[in-house]
Amino acid sequence: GDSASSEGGTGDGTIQLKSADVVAGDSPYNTGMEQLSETLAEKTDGQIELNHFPAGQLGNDGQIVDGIKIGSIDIGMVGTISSKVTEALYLPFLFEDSKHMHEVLDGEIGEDLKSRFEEETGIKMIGFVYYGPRVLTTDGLEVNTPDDLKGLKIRVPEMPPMVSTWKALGANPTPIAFTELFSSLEQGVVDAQENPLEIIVNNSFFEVQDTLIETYHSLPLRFLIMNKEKYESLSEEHQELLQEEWDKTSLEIEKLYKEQDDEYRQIIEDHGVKFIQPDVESFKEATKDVWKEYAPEAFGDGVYEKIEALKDGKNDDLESE
Amino acid sequence: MKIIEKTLEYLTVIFLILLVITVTLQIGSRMINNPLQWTEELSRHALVYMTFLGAALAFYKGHGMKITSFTEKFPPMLRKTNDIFIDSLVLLSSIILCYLGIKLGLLLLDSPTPSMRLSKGLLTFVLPLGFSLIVIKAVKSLFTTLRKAG
Amino acid sequence: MELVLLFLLLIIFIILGMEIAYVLIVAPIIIIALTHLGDLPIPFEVIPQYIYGGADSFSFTAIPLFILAGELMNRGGITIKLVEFAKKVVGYIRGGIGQVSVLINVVMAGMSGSAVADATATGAILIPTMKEEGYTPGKSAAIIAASSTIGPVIPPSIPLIIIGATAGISVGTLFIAGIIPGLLMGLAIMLYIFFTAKKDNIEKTERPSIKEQVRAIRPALLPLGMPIIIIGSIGFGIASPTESAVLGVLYALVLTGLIYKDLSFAELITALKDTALSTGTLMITIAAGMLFGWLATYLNIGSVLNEFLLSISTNPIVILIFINLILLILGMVLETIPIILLMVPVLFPIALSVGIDPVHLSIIMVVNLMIGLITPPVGLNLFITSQIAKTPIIEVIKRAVPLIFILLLVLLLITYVPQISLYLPTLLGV
Ligand code: NA
Ligand code: NA
Repeated sequence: GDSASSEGGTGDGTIQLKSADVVAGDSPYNTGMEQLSETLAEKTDGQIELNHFPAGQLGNDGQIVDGIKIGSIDIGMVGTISSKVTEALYLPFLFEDSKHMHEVLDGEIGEDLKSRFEEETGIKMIGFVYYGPRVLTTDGLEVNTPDDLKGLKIRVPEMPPMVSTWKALGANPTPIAFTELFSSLEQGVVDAQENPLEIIVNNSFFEVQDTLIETYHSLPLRFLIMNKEKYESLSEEHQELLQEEWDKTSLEIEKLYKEQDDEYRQIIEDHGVKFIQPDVESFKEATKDVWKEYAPEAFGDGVYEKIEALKDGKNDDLESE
Repeated sequence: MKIIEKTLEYLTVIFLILLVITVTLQIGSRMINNPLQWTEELSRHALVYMTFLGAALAFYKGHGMKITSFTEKFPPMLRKTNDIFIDSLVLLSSIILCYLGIKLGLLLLDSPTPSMRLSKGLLTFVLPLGFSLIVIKAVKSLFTTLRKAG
Repeated sequence: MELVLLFLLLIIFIILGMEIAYVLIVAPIIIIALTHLGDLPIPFEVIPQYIYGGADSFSFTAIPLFILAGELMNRGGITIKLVEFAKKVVGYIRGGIGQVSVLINVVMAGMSGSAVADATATGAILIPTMKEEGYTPGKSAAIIAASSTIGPVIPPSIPLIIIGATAGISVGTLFIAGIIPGLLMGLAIMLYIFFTAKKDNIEKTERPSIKEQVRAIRPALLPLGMPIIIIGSIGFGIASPTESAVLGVLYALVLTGLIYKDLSFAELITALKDTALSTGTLMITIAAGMLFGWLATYLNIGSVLNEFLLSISTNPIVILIFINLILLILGMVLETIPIILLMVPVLFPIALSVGIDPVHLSIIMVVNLMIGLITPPVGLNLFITSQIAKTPIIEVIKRAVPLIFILLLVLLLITYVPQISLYLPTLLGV
């Protein structure tokens, strides 16, 4: 039941885990986490009890990560982590599409990145999960090439690779707390922002932005992370089960997310937002050197080149997968 | 004691002025279309330093929100016992916070902040600093109360 | 079990006179220590983590800045200029200086972010005058205490900043949503003063000529620019609601230091010192409240209240009654900010699930909690104004009771007519 902390416990062999996320309760990520919780309980005859706390109940992304580090939260489903590895996954045009993303992460490179992350942060990385490709929105500015971005005040998350990307494109990246983003866009404190469609819909940015430029400049991920000691305290059998079930859940979340994405697109169109297909090649050209500053240190020498080599080279549009 | 109080007073005022300057720079740099990346984060650090040094200052000045309408009706002896009990709990919790704050700081020593890439652990040490100053004052006032009682 | 004990400790320590900030630290420490006797210990490191995290928020930088702007205005003589202005504009209405106190608080409401600051500033200036004009000390203290609750409903507002930051709602939207409800509170108090003035034998003063009234506006023009600077800078995209606080500080500095030259360097330093002290007191309570709120959430207060409320009804009208009752009861003993930190993560998901607008709920919450500032046994504004009026708290409480009922009526109206809060945001499309 809900009084997790007063009953049960390790005495009768139950393992109680608390997981946390910041996104709203009805998002695919929470649906996925609840499914994961059910299957884990089912397959272990109730030995693993996973209690999920959505909607920032246990704090924001930063607090969840710190909480996992010190052990107050066991598992976190988070988008932003102050780490070189996870931030470098936001590099511009790193992944061509989700197929490319899976080719990279489901194999050797993915395992390597997980252990690099663990080494850097001391946190166990269970796995990755799909997150929507990012687009640019503006208030009336129709952008075709980076030349149109000169001097544009754009809000970007506080992450060095993101800031470098938009500087390379000629815009002026501006730090604004996410909770102040809507009113900042509305009042013109900043002119533009970039996010996946889901974020644009769930925060009604279409009310204050009327142009959407399909840049798909990055396809970042969200991460399932876990307190390392807690993870190591699990039996090997349970560790494998967790990994297996998570890998299935990750694909399930991706499927749900992509289904929703079509609806989100429709909602944004219904609000009269103009969609623009820019000259993506010119965006790639302008940002082609950004990786050099981050990737070798974050991924290891030569890994970025390997990721590049896995690209088809034909399929430019992230959306047309 | 007076020296600690004065120092805290000046430090908190310096952080307040730093906060005014940083937020002004944030607006100003954006207006000239050359937004600074570090102002949001620096203003948060200034606020955090004001919070924990200011908490110590408030403790030294005897400023705090509390309700005395019930304890005022206690008989003198009971009131004194209660004061000692409450003061000891405050002292004890401040000692615990010092210890835990240092422990947390060490755990987060190599976690960087998002924009300025400062050590979260080092920044955290302001918490044990503030509470260690509170401990000094709390010990002294507890002794004063005990002496009066005896 | 731990959850019940947590709240029990909270009440006991408050009654025993422990400072609120320490209550919010000591009670969680005890509960977390107790979990180490069981099978699911909570690591002790969460204690400093959430206290530190509680202070580490950009939105809260507006708190010291708005306090500083208020300090500068009081020390630099701006508040007095505004009182002179209000006297000419509403001073002749039946109830005289009582009406002035409401108007001045509505004007101040647009400048300072905190009810406590408003009560202190306007009380110090107006209570002596009110006594002269025939108000009993108790009634003058009660009127100031009640009218200064308008402050945080009309922007800028420290409680709305904290609600917006914890619930993830745009603070700009909340600011705009609060304007009509705040004016409504002012109107209700003015009507009450109007209809009770005769019984109190308050003499009517002569209405000044239009010419005199117009003349009174001039010296108040620059001070009245303050809310325009704050709201205007947000409206024209110069500053975010949080950042606008610093423009308030700069404007107050220019006005008092350069234009009126009423602010000496020594007074500037005193204003800075007092701001730092108030910030320390307030922010450590906020930071500790974050720990307390986190622990209550961790111990599943959400599902406990959720089950309780939803077992009563899923009708938003009924849910809103109970939300108001819970907040009023908490408001009797707790301070505004700990309640916000505790209840926002609990109430907002419930409200959303039955279709209550989060902006509407935020306004209900802030009005409700402001009433809590004048409800016994713990009403911060009552304490402050009784000190200024040099009268026993019980005298103030007696006179505050009818005002509490009037504000509760306004709360009822705001609760069941969402348009009062949502009309302006919808109109302006925010
Ligand atoms: Na206000
Ligand atoms: Na109260």
